[in-house]
Amino acid sequence: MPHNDTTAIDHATFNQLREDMGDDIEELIPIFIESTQEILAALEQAFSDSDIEAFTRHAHSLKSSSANLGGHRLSTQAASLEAQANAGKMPASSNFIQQLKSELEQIEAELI
Amino acid sequence: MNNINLGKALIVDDEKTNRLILKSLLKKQGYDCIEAVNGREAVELFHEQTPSIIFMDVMMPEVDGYEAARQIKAASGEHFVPIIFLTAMTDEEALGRCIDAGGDDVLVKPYDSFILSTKIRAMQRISMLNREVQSMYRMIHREQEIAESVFINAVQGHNISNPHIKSKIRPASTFSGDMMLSAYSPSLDLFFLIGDFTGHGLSAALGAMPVSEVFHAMVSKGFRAEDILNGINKKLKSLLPVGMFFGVQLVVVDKQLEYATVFNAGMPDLLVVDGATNEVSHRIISSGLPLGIVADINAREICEFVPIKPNDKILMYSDGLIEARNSEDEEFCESRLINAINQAPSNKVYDHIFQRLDLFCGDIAQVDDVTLVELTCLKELVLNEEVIGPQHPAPKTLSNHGEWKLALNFSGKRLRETNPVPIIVNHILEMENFAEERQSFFTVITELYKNALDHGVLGLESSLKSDHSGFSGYHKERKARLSALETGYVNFELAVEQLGDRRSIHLRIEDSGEGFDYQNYQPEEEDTATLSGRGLILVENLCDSLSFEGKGNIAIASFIWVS
Repeated sequence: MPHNDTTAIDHATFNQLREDMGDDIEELIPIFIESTQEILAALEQAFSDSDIEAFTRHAHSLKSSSANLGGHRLSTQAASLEAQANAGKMPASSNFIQQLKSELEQIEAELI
Repeated sequence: MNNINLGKALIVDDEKTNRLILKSLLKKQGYDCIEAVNGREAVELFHEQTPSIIFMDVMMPEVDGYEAARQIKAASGEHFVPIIFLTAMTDEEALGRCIDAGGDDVLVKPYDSFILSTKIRAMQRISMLNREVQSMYRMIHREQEIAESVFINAVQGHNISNPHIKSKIRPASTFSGDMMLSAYSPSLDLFFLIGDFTGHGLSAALGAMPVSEVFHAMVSKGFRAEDILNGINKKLKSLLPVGMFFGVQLVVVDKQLEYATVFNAGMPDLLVVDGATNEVSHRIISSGLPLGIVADINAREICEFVPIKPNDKILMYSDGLIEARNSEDEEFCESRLINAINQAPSNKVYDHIFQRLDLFCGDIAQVDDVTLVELTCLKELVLNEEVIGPQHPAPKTLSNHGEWKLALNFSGKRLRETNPVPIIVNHILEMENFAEERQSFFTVITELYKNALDHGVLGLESSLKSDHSGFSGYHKERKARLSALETGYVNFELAVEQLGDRRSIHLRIEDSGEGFDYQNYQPEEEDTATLSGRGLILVENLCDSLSFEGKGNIAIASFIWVS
C-alpha cells in the first residue's frame, strides 16, 4: 500500500477507515491508544521474561492492530520483531521498546 | 448502506481495536455483532447464539482460529455457516492453512468496507445455494425413505421368518433395488426369491411392488416355479421402461428335502454348500436373461434340479456382495467369498461371510446393496409353524393326497376387515372348472365360515337370535364384537383331487373358539330350532360329508362335483 514514511499514520488508510466507520472512529482512537499501551507493556514483560512465545504473540497483535488504523511504521516494526521471534531471536537490548513507545506517541499526536 | 438485518455476525479476535473496527463495519452492513476473544469462546458462542457468519482471527491465545474453525465446521454439519479468516497481508502462506482448516474466505487487514461487503454478498450466495442443495438432498432422502418403507412394509412384510433362513439386504448409501421374497406353497414347499433391479431408489422400489404381488399370489395358489417366473417376467415387461430389468434367483426347496429347484437369471452364481465340509458342492450359474427384457421367457429351460442333503446350505447373493470394495478399490470377489465359506466354523457360514466382508470393506461406503441368504436344509425349514398355525399344538392337517392344496390362515385382527370367503372362492375358480356348482360351494364355505367366526371366534350364542330383539340384536352384538376383535383365528385348508370322473374338494376349517358338543348333535330336520344358528343343515345337504373334530372347533367337509 502506498504511504508516506515521514508520517507515523498513513493518512489514506486512516481516512478510508474514518469514512467506513463514521462516528464510531471517535470511540476507536482512545481505545486503540490504550490497548496499544497494554500490548507494549506485555511485550516488555515477555522480553524481560525471555518468553519468546508470548513475545511473538504480542508482536503479532501490535502488527495487526496498528495496520488497521494506518500506523504503518509501528506495524512494520512489529512485523520485523514478530519475524525475528518466529526465527527464535529476541532483540539484543530493550531499546526497541523505547522506539515503539515514541512511535505510538507520534501516532497519538497525528490522530488528535 | 444496508438496513436489512442479516442476523448475527460473530467476531473472534483477541485485539480490541480490531474487533471494534470490524464491528463498526459489520453493523453498517446490517449485522448484529457478538464478540469472542479467543477460539474457545468462539466455539461456545457459536453453540449458544448460532451466528450466520463468523469472522475469525488466526493467532489467539488458548484455542487458535484454525482449531476453532475445525470445531465449528464439524459441529455445523450440513448447515452452512461461512467462516472468514482475518489476516494481515504478510501472512500469505497462512492463506492456504485458513482454507484447509475449513475457512471459506480470507479478509486482509487493514479492513476495507467495499471488499468486506463484496465478500459478504458472495457468502450469501453460497449460503443460498447450500440451502437449495440441502433442501433437494432432503427431498431425495425422503424419497429414499419412502422407497425403503415400501420395501419393508409392502414388499418384504409378508416374508417368512424361520430360524433356518438367514437373510439380509444391507442397503447401500443410496437404496439400490435388491429385494427378497419368500413364501410357502399350499403343498408346503419353500419358495425363496432374491432379485436385483437395475436403477436406484424409488424407481427400483416401484418395480418391486408388482413382483411381490405376482410372487405371493401365484405361490399361494400353488403355481409351479417356472409359471411364477414367467408371470413375473410378463408383468415386468409390460411395466418396466427399456433399459430397466430384474436379475433373479429363485429356489424351491421341496418339503421332502430331497432336491431344490433352482433358477438363476442374470445373477451371480448360486451356491450349495455341503453342511459337513463347508465345500461348495453345486454351483448354479446364470443361464437366462434377466426378467423384463423379452416378452416370453422359457423358465422351464433354465430350471435346474439340485440334490440336497440334510444340513446343506443354499447360498443366494446379489452382485453387491462380491463387488463390495475396500479402501484400495479392490473387490471382495468370489474367491474371498469361497474362502470365507470354506473357513467358516461349523454352521456359521452366513455369519462368517459378513464378518469377512466387514473386515475387508472397513468404513468404505458401498454403492450397491448387499444381499445374502442362507437356507439350511433341515426339516424345520419346510415344516414351519407359520404354515400350520400359531400358538396351538399342531393339529392334523388334511392328508397330502390330491392335486393341489390351499392353506389360508386369518388372525382375528385381520378378520375385522377381511372376508376370507371371496378370496378362497376366487382361488378355486382360477384353478377349477365348476360353473353350476359354484353357488352351492359358495354357500357351503360361507355357512362354515359364519359358523367359525360367529360362534367360534366371536363366541356368540345362537340363542341370541330367539331373544325378543331377534336378529337385529344378534347382528348388533356381532358387529360390536367383530370391530373389537384382537385375538383368535380362522384357518382354512382345501385340498382338491380327482375321484373317478368327479372332482372333490376337501375342506377343513378350524377356529379358535370353544367348539360345541358335536357328538350329541343329531342332524334331524325337525330340530331346526337348535340348529338354525349353526346353519349346518344346509351345508350338510349340499356336501357329500360333514363332520367335526377337536372340541367341535374343526369342521371337515367334502364337496364333490362332476367336472
